[in-house]
Amino acid sequence: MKYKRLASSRCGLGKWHTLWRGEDHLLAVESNGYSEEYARYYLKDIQAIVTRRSSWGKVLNAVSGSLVGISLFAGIGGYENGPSPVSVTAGIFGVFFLLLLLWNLFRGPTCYCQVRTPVGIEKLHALDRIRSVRKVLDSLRPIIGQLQGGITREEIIELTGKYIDTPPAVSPAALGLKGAASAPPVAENTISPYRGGLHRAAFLLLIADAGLSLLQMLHNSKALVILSTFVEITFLCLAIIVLAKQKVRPVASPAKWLTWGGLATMMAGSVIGYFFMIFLNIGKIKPGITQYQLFDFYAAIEPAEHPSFATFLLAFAVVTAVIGIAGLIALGSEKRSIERRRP
Amino acid sequence: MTLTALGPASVSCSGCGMPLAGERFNSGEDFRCGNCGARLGIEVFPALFRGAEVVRSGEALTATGEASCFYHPQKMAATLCNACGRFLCTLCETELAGRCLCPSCIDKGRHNEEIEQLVTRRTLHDSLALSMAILPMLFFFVTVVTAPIAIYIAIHNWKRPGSILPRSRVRYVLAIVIALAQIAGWGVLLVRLAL
Repeated sequence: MKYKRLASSRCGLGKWHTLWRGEDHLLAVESNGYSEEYARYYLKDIQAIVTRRSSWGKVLNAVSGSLVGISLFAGIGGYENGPSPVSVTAGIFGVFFLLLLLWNLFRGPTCYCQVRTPVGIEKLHALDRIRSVRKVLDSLRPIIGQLQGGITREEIIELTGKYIDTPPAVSPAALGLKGAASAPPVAENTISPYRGGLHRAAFLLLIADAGLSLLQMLHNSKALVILSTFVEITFLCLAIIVLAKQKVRPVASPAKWLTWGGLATMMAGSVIGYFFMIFLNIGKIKPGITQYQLFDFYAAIEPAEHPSFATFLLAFAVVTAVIGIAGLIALGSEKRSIERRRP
Repeated sequence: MTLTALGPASVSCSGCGMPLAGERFNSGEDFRCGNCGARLGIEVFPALFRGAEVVRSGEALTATGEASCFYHPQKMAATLCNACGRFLCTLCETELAGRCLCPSCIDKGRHNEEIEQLVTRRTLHDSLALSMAILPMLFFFVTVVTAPIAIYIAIHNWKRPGSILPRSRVRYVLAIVIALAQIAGWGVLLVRLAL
């Protein structure tokens, strides 16, 4: 059977999804390089294709843009009397993240795409960009039209008109919504809103860490490093819980991607901080050195003597503070909008 | 074509599950879900409004001497299985890949992977052989064992069905060539050591 490739997308480490068009069906392929799994959606059975914009693209833009900025600062800061190892490394990272940013901008906004058939609704992982969904739809529309016949928008309105997309007057379970049947009963037939307490805590930790980074920039000490490490580990643990939470509970879209941005910034900050610890103590590090001694070395770096390190701390503090404050604002505006909708 | 909303003809927001108004469908433009605010684009097709297909149970035999279904002796045969030739009633016939097949031939075809439309998983032996030939080169001494294994995988699976997608045998060829080169390298090394 002949297949024509329609779209592809990489998803996770070592896994990618592709979408192919056969004579009478779509073939979704999930591959790990050594095996492939296939799912077929016959064109005569496709009832609907639903796309929902996601924040992934914006998050990737924010993260890669921040990393370009940090690399730029670190590169300029490290360039003291000619190119130094720090400025060269920062330059390489900067170019990499810039290319990532440009590639992401070129591919356009991201989305989730689902196909509905008589047996259920499935996610099409290969279609993760609005542009590719539109391209695929343009190529499929005439073929599906030949197999299923045409339908006008008036007919669609007539046949679906009885459903409206306003907040439910009856419980979601009564409408047969997915997952509603197993959900605990809620008061007054409304979906109980998540108040965003965990998100708020995570964003506050980010702001606290920004403050600690600023203090470190003024004067680095062991106590500050221990405190900021504790805050960062707490944030990382909380971020995992928060990400799991926002997967199942409705959270404002900006707050969602700011959480991802905070996590990425924190991880990138840890990696860059580790590089600084290595580069600025390159003469002291010998085989058999313990992690505790490395920790001591990090606490002993004086930002006033190393402008590149001070620049890194400043950039990290600014980015985490911006994400933290933006997250709190997003949660606040979501809360106000829920209160406005409440009768 | 007459369309009727026999089934649940609504499409829901994929973010919050709220049923959506049809006036925004097939407009080619995104719109926001009234409940969760997600930006959606929805394209619906006539199959959404088509009722469930009526399953024909097969007609009962009316006179002696009439051909009966192999699986339902009391039902009248309507067609033949294109693979095994058994008589089938309308309940048993299944059209697949342009052929009319009986349940046991479909089961056999799925088990033996003879019917491509029923294949849900394939192992890519060619990629396996190529990885077995290339990756161990990072630790060169391992290739003394892995090179023959790569050749074995490539030759043993040469004729086995691989991916159902368009794919050449170039990975098999590369795996064999690289593995042979590794074996030749070991041969040269051993000869030099012996001399």
